[in-house]
Amino acid sequence: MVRQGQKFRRVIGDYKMIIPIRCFSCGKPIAHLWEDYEKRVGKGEDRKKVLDDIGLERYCCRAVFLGHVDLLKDAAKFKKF
Amino acid sequence: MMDAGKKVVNVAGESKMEVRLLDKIKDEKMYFLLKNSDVFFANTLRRLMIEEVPVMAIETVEIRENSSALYDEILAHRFGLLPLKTDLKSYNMPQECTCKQEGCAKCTLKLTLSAKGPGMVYASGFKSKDPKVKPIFPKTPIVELFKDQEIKIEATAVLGKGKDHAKFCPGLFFYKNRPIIEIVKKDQITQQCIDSCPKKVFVLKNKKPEIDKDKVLKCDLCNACVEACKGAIKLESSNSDFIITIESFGQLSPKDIVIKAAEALDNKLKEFGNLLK
Ligand code: SF4
Ligand SMILES: [Zn+2]
Ligand SMILES: [Zn+2]
Repeated sequence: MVRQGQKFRRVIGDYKMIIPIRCFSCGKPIAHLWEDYEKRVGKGEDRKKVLDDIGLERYCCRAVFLGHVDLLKDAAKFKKF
Repeated sequence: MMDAGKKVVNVAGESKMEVRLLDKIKDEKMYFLLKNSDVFFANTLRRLMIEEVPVMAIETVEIRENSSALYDEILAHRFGLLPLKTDLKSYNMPQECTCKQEGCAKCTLKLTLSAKGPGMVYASGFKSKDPKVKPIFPKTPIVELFKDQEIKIEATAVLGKGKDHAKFCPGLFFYKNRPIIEIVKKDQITQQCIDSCPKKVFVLKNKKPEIDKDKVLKCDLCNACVEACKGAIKLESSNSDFIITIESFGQLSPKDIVIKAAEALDNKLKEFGNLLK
């Protein structure tokens, strides 16, 4: 049995694991832009500039990128239910 | 540019609809101006484009092997959302196919994906039976595999319509009313008024304030100019002219989307006409 708290964590975990294929709100495919974004931000470039460059204009798509954390590596350490 | 609000009237006395292409960015985006129409038509067009234009997407997934960190359901969901290049000429909607929904080469397409860790699995790993139909963005990450992890998937793509699932939407479609801006009192326009506009619609020409004809369509009716200079600027939105934006997700070109939507309207009206006979 899954307790409420656990279930909630799992839902959060699922969406934070790997970049979503599309934007939650508008449906634009965004996943293919992620690796470029991550690399450039990792080098110290300004997030705003990178987001403008890769062509995410609406704040819904930008929010998906700004709030995303890749947790798949950590999640892979545990057994799947 | 035509006078705001004035209608072009043809001999029969009806107002004539006009379409003018404003801008096109690659095969992704298209802006056009729809003149002398109305909200009802613009909205009908919008709904037809998101609901009635068919595109390809993965509909069923057979998971042979999945030892990745993602659940089968998440994987299947991710596959479904991948936009696939659509070839409307060589595929039929499954409901209208001659095979009576049994699934033949004219209405279904098999794609396979198998990968072993470690490494990222990309959409480019999909092997399609039809070289023309494949994921549009090959760099889309699907799942990261670690040591001893493996996925083996067989997926079936079909044509579908946006009213059944959002993954079958060909793109985004939105419109705004065309702004009608008028400088009523030229002498009352200060530099502050000019600077208040975020879209830089107002310019100074020979020290006289004027409206930039190219930029005026960018105005998003935010009302900042009217508030900044009280009574000097009149702002209205046209009820007959619309600035329409089409943003394709890649499956079809924006032009094809509009044409297919118009065809869908045609077919609907024909069907209705036949029922009335
Ligand atoms: S409504 Fe806003 S965008 Fe339009 S002209 Fe005025 S200030 Fe500029
Ligand atoms: Zn978005
Ligand atoms: Zn068939």
